[in-house]
Amino acid sequence: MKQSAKEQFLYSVTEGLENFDYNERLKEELADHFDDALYDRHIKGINEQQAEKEALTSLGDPNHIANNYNITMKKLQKPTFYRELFLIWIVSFPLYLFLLIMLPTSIQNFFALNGLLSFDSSIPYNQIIAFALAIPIACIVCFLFYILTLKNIYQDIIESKRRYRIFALLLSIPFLFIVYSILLPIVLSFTEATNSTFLDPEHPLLSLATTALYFLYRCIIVFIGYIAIRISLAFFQKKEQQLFQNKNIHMPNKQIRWFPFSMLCLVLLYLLYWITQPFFGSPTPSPSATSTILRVLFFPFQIGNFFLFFLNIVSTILLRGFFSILTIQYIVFTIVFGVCIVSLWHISRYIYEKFVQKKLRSFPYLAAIVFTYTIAMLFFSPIPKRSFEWHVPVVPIATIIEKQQLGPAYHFSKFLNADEGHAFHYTIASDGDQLFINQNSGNRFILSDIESIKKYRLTKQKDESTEQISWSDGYYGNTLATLGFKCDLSQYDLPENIDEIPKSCNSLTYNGHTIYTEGEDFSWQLGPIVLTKDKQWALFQMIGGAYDPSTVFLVDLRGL
Amino acid sequence: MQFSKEVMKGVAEIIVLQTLEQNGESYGYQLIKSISHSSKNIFEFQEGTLYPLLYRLEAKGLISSAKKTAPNKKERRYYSITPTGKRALKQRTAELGSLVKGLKHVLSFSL
Repeated sequence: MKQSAKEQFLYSVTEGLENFDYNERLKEELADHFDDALYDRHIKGINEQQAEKEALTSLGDPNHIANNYNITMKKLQKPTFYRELFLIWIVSFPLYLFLLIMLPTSIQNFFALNGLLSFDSSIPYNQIIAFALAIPIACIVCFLFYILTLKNIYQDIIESKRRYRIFALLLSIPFLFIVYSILLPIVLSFTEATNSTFLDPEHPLLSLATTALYFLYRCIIVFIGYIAIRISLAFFQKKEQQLFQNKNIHMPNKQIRWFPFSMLCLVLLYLLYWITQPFFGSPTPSPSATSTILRVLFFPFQIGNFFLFFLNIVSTILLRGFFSILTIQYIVFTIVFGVCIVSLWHISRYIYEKFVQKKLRSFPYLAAIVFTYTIAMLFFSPIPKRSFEWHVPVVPIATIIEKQQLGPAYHFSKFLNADEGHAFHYTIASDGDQLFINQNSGNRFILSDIESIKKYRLTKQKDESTEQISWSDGYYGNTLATLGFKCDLSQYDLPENIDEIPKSCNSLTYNGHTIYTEGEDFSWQLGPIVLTKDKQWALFQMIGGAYDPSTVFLVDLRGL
Repeated sequence: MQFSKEVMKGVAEIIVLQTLEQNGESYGYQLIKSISHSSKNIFEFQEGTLYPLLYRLEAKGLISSAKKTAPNKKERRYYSITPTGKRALKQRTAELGSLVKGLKHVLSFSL
């Protein structure tokens, strides 16, 4: 009888409760409360039936308890809907892109996509403009979206009929498609739009995943911008206290709780798919890509970029040069890494407080989502291994220069990326007896005493370009051929549509002597070569990629 | 005694925080009894009011909770005031003091 009355009471309360995470705890505490009330009355000598009646009366009306609880919890969970919209915004973008890719070309022409590839995102100036434009525009769009949907339209639907909540949220998708059409050109303008896996109809899955992941971390940056505006406004209006009141509140919709966790699985699947696919035109999966998976998993590539960002900043300040293109690229990864760390801190704090301190803490879903996405970005790209086998004496002159310039920082950074710590771009030049190395820090190095290259002179000069032989003369290098160089093309069967990408020189000979041979893997590309007048020495510029540092080797051609 | 929501708004939190500050950690049932006793039965919290209020205070970080064994050997969730809660209590008590002072003048005047 006692149990049934208690259970009946709890059942009545539970029936009236809306879907909040504290429900179980409320039930538990009410049950305890009932037991305590009953116990007190037993001690006073009240008979069981009367005691139970009084205990139930003291607990109050179950409907009143449920209503009161619902109202309080609703107030606490006010920002939840915004989070859901944010999620839908993220999820609907791949859908939008999928539809766009599937459309005939003639219809695609109505969108701005076609003009995007002509945008040269490798120019820092363009990137800065894109950043400057994209973030405020995106913030304004986000803000308008938030005001229009959350405040005025959807809230009414949700308040009136809770069961239609999901349909209300889905209604946002058409609106979002319009937003994407406005934002996409701007957002994509500072992504690596020329990536061959980007919007490639032959690899829709890979294309979709790549694009979605690129977009997601742009979203996060935009989201941070939006939050920054909100915080700034709140401080301006002296309402900053309100910002932090609801930070530990649960996300009530259980349907979307699986989302951040399943995303991690999707990311790993994506990675698996990536490494088993033909790699950069190679007909078979790249052994280098497969072999780097452990490194990618245990020491994500982009974390190295985070440190290189600071290395670049420090070296730029110390050398009083210009910010390199790499610095600008690393800003993005640094922000992503920072977001990742902050999210991880939130999650760790939750675990500590919940399981060690046994405090009431709601799971930080937003942090988990952000962490999942950002960690996905850190896992993003396998690192192609770059291997050379030199057959003549060479001096890694760029490495020597950077070691001297950066000191211990160089040794630290060389373990962090695939470029052996290099942080600068170089161009090379020759003026008869002297060889010049121009660093994009603004420094020019003159190799006047080549026999003893450690005594190179460091001067600050304008980069007055002198003759250099480059592959722009034609891939087989007619000019090079007249000087005695011969290049064997990469063995990769490169598709025709990436003809404009410089092909790697599989091996190089000089007067019949092999200078170097590459490993089987995707390697550094041979850039320009300059020679001394007596053709005894040469500088080889090696290029890792548009966004990677380049390096320079001093090659000893004596006796060849 | 029953008070309207408008009157109790803001005061309820101070009452709970003050009780926890004074009595140390307590569980829900104890709190209701303590509040009732210390207010000489003027404030009688209903469960429907108390528990959501406790969750709200905990979400704000003003109180914390942990499960412990009560003297009756049963496990109960004990609430205690946090250092942030103590600071908030001090601030709000000062505010309330001024409010009551002002209110007293106004009410005396109107009487």
